[in-house]
Amino acid sequence: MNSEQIIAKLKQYPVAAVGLVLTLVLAVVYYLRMPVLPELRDTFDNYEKQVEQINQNKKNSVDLDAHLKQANEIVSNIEKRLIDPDASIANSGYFLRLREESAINFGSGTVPKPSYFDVDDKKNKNDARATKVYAQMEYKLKLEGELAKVLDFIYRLKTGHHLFVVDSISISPEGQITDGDGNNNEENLAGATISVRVLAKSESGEKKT
Amino acid sequence: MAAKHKNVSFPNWHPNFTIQATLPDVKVVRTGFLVNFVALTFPVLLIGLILVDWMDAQGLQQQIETRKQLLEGAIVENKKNVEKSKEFDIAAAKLNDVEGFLSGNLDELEVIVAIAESRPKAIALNNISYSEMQKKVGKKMVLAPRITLRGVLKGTSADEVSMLDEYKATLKNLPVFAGILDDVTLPEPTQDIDKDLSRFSITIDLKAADE
Repeated sequence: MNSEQIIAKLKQYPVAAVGLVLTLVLAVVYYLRMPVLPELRDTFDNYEKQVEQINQNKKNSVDLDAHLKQANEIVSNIEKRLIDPDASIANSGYFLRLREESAINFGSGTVPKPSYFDVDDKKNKNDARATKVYAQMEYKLKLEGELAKVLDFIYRLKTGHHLFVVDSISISPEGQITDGDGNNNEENLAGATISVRVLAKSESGEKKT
Repeated sequence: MAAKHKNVSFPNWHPNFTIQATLPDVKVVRTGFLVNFVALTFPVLLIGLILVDWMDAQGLQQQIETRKQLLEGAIVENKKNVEKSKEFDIAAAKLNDVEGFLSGNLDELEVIVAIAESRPKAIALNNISYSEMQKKVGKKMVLAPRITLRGVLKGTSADEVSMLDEYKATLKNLPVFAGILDDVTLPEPTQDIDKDLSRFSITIDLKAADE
């Protein structure tokens, strides 16, 4: 079919010719508009997610102020009770005060030097009581005195100002007991070795938070 | 008259079927109608598609505007909430740290006192030791308390030594171990015939707090 014949056909069907032109124009328009809708859907989904997130945050924030205040009060209380690794004299004084209150003696006469484990300390990492924010200090003490008073010292340590936990206790009577009558006064005298740990201030932990 | 008739030419009274273009369109539905119908159907369909597309886009645009306004109104409050939540997370991490550090299911002093009070008169305890054994439960390290008693029993005869089994049973039934007792072991005591004493060691293993 040559051009003359095509022109003849177009003249023969003018409405169809207009329809054809219109189809081409509309197809181009449709093609150009094709990416608009997916883009709008993406934008909508993005905004929808943000709105959902905000609504979820709003739901989660019910009573958040009160909870935050309460948590901060507890944390503040805890941090007041942390032992300061640098205040060695004050720390020794704490033990000596408890010793006086319980009326016992330390085996070595003074408080031994503690071991310090910071949060990044490898020795502390595999421990079930490993801490991530606060450091720990470990003390090994030898106690001498009446059994009840030795136990009183340990009780005071556990319930005192600083946050102590007992790792181990080994209590033996002072002297060898060969009978079980319990009438001997010496039976009440005991020697104890205890290993305790206390929560301490941590420079690296503070930086982390 | 005959010559006059010869000069007049008449068209053929029937169509020439060899020239297709000159044949009349006698179909029930005319070709012109079909061509126009088909040619107009496509633009109409395309117009419909574009209209639906445009209406969808308008609807989405409206919804986007609504959400934009919602976000603008809530963004300040949300920022405050997120900041508070972060602050709470920091405080919670500290509290969890302390909780983990102080965790345990046992009051060591209560246990020591209970053991000391449960001791029969024929038995003297030379040492009570309390320690915590680390063990793995799943992927977590936990502390399982262990109490070891070392002592002596007056006498070496079978009857006298059987008292240790009774003491073991007494220890097992101490209320302070209710629900947390794992195992009590009593190895064969060593006998000191000269002093008429049996030396023994009892190990009490308790369950970890998380077991």
